[in-house]
Amino acid sequence: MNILLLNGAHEKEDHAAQIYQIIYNHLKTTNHKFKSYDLHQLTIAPCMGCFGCWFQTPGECIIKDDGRLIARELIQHDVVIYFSPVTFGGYSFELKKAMDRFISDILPFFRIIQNEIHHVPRYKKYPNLIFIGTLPSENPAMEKTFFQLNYRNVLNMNPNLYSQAIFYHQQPEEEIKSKFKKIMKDVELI
Amino acid sequence: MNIHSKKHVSLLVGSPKKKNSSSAILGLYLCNKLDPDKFAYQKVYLRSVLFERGNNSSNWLDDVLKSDLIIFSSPLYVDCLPSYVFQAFKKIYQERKEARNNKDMQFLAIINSGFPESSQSQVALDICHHFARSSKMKWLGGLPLGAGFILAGKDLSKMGWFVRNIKKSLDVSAMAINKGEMIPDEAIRLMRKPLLGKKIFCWLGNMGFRQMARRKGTIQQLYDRPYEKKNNDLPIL
Repeated sequence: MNILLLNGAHEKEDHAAQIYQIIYNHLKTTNHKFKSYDLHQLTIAPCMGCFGCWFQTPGECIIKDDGRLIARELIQHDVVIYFSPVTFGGYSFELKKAMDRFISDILPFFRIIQNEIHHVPRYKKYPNLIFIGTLPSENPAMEKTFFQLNYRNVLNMNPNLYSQAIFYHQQPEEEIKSKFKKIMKDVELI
Repeated sequence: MNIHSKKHVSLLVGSPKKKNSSSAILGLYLCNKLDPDKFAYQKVYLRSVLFERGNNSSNWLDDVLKSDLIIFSSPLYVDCLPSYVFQAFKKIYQERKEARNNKDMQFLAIINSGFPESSQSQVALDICHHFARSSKMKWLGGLPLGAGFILAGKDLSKMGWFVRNIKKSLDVSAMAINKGEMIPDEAIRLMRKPLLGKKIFCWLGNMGFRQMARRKGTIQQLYDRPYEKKNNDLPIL
């Protein structure tokens, strides 16, 4: 399968960068093809909320930068891994600025799912999703928010399968690898 | 009472729009309901101060850190806050942490969602709560509004019956702030009241989207899939 790994950590964030490296190295040992982007090294302008990607150039953001590239990559992969330091229970600025640009990949129209209104998919198939957050140590309240946020994203981004985990800064490498393998299993990568 | 003895309020607007921003309209309505003898407020458009050059806004962080109360009003973007809000929150958090800025500060959040259910804003409000707590601010409460876009470009104080619960909610919130109290549950309950039923919302929304595409001349392209992987695409390496 084709895997896309989106790194929302900044290189200055040592602990998150180390965890990212463990996951990156592990993916290299698998038989899957994978591609990764360090989002802080790309030029991705924050979404302007103009809805140009729905009504002006349908399916494509009007901002011509790397945000378009990542929105395309999302659709063209089988599994996408979002990697982010948990920021007040949400994603990092680096990851969120890419994610805000993904609205070009869905339609403006509304439908009701689980008694809530959500947007209609633009594409026939969307990638399975893995959400990985990092925290200095256990923080049940923020972890709960992070997981709820991921679930809401799943409702809008239509994967068949998804999985999620939090890794802590001082967590041993073997534990990270073993938990990551379990996540890979959840989305049928193993 | 002179201006120096007034409490300093920062209205942080999370919307990228300056004109027609529902977030600004909600926040300004609340600020204007605060007792002018007790409070003075300033507006800060976060996207503008973080990304627009030449707007002489480099001191925004210093100004915000002097606040007694932050009123944060933002749209819901992809299930939580717009990206740059995380950047702004992190800067405020770092300053409060590293500069040991222990000034007593209160924080209140208003989140308006494009969906009719106010419940869709709960995760964003939880994130605001985590930010306030991490930054050692007193959490005054969070107001979630569904279908907030209906306010765009309008003067809330001049709007009538349709938005009565929104106005009541903000009036009740302002009264509480004037008295130095937390936002009462009544204000949250009023803001949560749906403006439209789900089915009528879907029907009106979908019709509006088609009209918009017709106006833009893109009705034939509306369902385009520019990124769809073609069968003859090369494998991704």
